[in-house]
Amino acid sequence: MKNMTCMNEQQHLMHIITLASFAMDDTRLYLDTHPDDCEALKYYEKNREIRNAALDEHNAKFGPICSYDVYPNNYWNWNERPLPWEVR
Amino acid sequence: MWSYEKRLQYPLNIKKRNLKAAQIIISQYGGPDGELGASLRYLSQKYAMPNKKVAGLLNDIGTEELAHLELVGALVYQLTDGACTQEVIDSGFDKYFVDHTLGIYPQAAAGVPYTAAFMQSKGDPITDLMEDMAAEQKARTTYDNILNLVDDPDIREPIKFLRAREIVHFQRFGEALRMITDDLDCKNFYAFNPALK
Repeated sequence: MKNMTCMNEQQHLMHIITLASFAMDDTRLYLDTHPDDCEALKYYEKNREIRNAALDEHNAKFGPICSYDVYPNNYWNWNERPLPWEVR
Repeated sequence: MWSYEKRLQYPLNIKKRNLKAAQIIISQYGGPDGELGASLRYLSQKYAMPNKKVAGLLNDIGTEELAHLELVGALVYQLTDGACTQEVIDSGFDKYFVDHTLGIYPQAAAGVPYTAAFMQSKGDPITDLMEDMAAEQKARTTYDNILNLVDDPDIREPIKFLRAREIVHFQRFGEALRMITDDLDCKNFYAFNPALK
């Protein structure tokens, strides 16, 4: 994993989004087969809050990562930033 | 319905090209036990699954496998991007290059193109879940084999992540199988297909 101290703000927010999203991904699968596990439900909600906060901040400062969140402003800028699979 | 998020599920940062590794790793893109097969298998099986929790699980794991498909594709792309002709020749990548250049094509490492014959969607919940558990183990073994063949830590980290996910999926499918068998009607002692009414 990349050294946290040399991340810029955009990378730092994406890092939080990646971690919180993965925690939700993994918990979602567990909840699919254990729908009444209270601890898992709490863990899911905690990570949802973290993810949503980071996502809101990222969307405001650096643009959306989901196309439903694009506010075009006269130009469709959805494809502006490096695409996720590109070499950094 | 699927929505795309502009990020990879796990960060990739390949610093050194490696066409030999790319040729091997492509098996997890379009090979018999790769992510394309996994996603198509689970997403196809979900429809005939009468237990709603298990249908939801198939949908969710199938979705995650699509994210893994993207990761493997990105890995192969980053391992080959910018290769010169001599690298292509020296690594033996020329056999793939002649048909696909540096494009990403779903095939196994040995060159067999992806086929639905690599998967089954049998319409019987017990059969399908057994198939899925086997699929996860086959994928895990393939990642074990890749780890045996590749040294670069930039490659090993995402592969170890993908391998760990296969083990978790296996666990979830095992639980789903137990849920299905618990639900079997007491009159269905010999476990005839619970999806048939």
